[in-house]
Amino acid sequence: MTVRAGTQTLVDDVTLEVPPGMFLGLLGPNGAGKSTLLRTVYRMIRPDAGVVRLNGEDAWRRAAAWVARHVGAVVQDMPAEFPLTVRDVVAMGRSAHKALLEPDTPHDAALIDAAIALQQLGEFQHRTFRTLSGGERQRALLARALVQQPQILVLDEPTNHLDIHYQLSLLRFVREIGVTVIAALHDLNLAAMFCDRLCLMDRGRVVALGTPEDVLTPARLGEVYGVDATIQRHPRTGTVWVLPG
Amino acid sequence: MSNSAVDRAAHLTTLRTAPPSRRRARGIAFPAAGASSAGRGRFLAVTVGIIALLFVCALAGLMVGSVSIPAGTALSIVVHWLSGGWLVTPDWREAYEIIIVQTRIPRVILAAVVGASLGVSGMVIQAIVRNPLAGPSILGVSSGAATGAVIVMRFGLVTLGAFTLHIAAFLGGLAALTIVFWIARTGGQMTPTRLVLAGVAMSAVLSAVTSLLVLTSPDPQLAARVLFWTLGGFGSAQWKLLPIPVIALVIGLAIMLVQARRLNLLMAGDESAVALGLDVERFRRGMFVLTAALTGITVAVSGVIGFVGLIMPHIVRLLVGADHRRALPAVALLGASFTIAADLVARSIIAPLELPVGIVTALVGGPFFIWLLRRDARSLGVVK
Amino acid sequence: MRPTLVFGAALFALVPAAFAQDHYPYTDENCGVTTIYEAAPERAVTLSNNATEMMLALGLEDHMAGTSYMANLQISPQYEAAYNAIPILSPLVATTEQLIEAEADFVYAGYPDGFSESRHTRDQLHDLGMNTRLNTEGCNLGRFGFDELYAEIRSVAGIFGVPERAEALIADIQSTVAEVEDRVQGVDPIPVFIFNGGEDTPRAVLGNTMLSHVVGRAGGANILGDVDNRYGSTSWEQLVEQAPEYIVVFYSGTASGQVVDDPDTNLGQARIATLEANPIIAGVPAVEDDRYVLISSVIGQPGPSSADALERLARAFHPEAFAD
Repeated sequence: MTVRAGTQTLVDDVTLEVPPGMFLGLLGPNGAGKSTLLRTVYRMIRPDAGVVRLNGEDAWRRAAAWVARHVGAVVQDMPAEFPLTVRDVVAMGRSAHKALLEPDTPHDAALIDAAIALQQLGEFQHRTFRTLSGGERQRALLARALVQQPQILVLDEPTNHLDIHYQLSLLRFVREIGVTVIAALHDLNLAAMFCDRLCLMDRGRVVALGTPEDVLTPARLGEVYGVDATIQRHPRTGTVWVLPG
Repeated sequence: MSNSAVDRAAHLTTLRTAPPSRRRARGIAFPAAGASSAGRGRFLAVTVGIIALLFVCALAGLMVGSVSIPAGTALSIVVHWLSGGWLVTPDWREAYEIIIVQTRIPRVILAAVVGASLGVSGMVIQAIVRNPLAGPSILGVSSGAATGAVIVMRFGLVTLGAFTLHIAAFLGGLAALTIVFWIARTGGQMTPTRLVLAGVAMSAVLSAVTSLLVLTSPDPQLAARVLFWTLGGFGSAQWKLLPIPVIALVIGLAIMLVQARRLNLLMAGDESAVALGLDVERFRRGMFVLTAALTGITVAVSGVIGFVGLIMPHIVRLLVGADHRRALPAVALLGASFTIAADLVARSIIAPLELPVGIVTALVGGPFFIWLLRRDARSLGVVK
Repeated sequence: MRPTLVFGAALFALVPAAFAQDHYPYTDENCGVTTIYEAAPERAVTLSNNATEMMLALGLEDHMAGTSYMANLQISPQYEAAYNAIPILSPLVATTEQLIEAEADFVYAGYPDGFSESRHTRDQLHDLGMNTRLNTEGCNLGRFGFDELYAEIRSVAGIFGVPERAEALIADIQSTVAEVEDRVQGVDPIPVFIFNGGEDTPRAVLGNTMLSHVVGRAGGANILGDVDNRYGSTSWEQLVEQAPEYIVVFYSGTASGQVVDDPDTNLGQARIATLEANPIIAGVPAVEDDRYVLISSVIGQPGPSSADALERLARAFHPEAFAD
């Protein structure tokens, strides 16, 4: 698949296959094309060449709502202009499942309640979204993606704005719920801890694809990030541990 | 973690449930009702309040005019008219009945329809440009519509058909909105400031064009007619003027309500809206045309009445929240009440002279807009 | 002798009745609006001073339900008694509601602002069962002079089925016009500016008005009389350039739509003061020599009093011609 913007090629002839249930981490320096690649998955950007297949179907041959019933995304823009309550924001996730005039059913309410409870947003649910802290906002957006009942969860820098406690609990959570996850991550160690597979990108191309052990080598990190890094094993979890410098 | 593992598991299971089949009877008690029924109670209370307000404003609108008709008589005439002549035996001058039925009732209805149309248009425009400072008059839609109408009058194109004025107003509004949107989006991010500035610039250009058309016109009445168009009023209300704006409002509001859930998604931002399953570009284009049509028709019958479409949505969101399924009906009712009240003030404050109603709405709306700008600036300052 | 006289009187009494029967239906063509009258309107309402005077000059006060838009101006003395007997609906243009309350069946405006979207359009009034007429000067169809005024008089008299009164009134005006023309025959027309207020930019009365025509017939020449419009803004430089020797100060009874208490002082005299205070035009002959003549809209607008305006202007412009 290829995505261009003007003369620039943002994603250059990338082929990726993510089997159900896999947690795939996208790594790479700023501008590597991670976000662009993710945007093709939730049908924000149409690839200039190639296709995005979900369960074998071309996403651009199906309606946006169909894609949204399969892919939930946590994106960067925040619905802070209008006085939407946290519950309003989470409830938006049900939209793709609803016919035009269909009212919210008790089933929808139960899903929303569950997502709010799982993200520990119960006490905020009637507050307006814009009064939340960065971390609370991020959790609300994850709750919104959850009520979409997606098979694939797309996360673009999900740990931004989160303290270490919530970084860990968010990633642990999405791992636990058993959906396919594609996440763009900055933190190499978090990626190594939670992802089944890593995809290292640079200037729109895939540099390496495989297990954390295969992908995170000092040579590649030097080549892509221009840093001199030492790779060790985490003393407790046994996962790959990157020590820069 | 405060959640017990059992709770967690239960919630996760809930998240995986499919919606119950529609044929199956619902046997399970759902816990969610508590939160949203409190919201529903508030919504109902607010709605009843606004309907009462609308009723009071409409009644007052029927009582006041340049001929003073005793309130009792006015009320009897209204009841007589509403009941189709069944309930009250006429014991008043026929002239009074004509005044109420032929001038005041259509005037109040026109004001209500225009107010409701502007309110819902404003709310939808704010959602599609994702900017609560937008509105039909701020974004130049109203001036565009007025210019369209003036072009038709200036060049005597009214002869092309009864709806020429409406169509020209609609096209003018659409053109203005498209240009403003295009200016604001050129070169990257569309910020609220750029949008408002583009709208202001557009309005200034359009009012200059309108003035030019008027000053070069041989028709001495054009100036008076254009003054009416640029400041708005309901003085020309007649029953036969009502069908088009009423039909436009009914159809427009129906479409908006059907699309209310999607309109909600627009408030989340383009990226989110797409991720939530909305074909943003196409949907926005459709809503663009719809609001321009509604605003254009409003302008064609009553001229430019500013600020209704800007401030009513704000007040409604404060009262019932931002969800369009609730906010749209509420803003239609509140916009109607406000415009009837503004018209009432316009025609009674310096009686027997009438102020253009646009002056009254601007006097109320202007300060509100300034307050909004200040509040927004402050809250943005805190966030950044 | 005697029987003949009786017979003559009887014949005279019969003529109008017979005539009236042939008169209707009467078709009135007025600026694109065609109205067919089956009988004389019984409850006419006027929307301006010149329309009111037109009705009274034709002796139609019995057909009137009200007058409006005199805004503290003085009606000409010869119509005062009749005017005072008719209800005054409003100092401004009567509203739709006031017209309905007066049960008007005919609404006559002397200026175009009588009918407008912000008050009531002719169409709207027609739907309420009221026929309308607008003095054709207000339609801005081109030059408007005494011939057009006579046509207006004939139209109004036609609507009310009294064409003979139109001829009498026209003859009356014609005699004044002839008398004045006789006096000013052969004089050199003096350049005149017709000032309609304004401080930064003066508003002028232009070529398509009765007033401009009257100035011409009185031995003057409107310096902006070749502009094909009724009213418009000009610049003080025009006055300096064209050096009018007389300034006709035109005023109505309202300012910005508000009724003025004493129009003569508050508008007429105040406009003269404006001219006096302006340094740019201090050297203009009319200003230098205080040659102003006040014309209120009662006589300045096209109507039966246009003859009075003619006489007043001629006497002002050419006092020597009246010196006997």
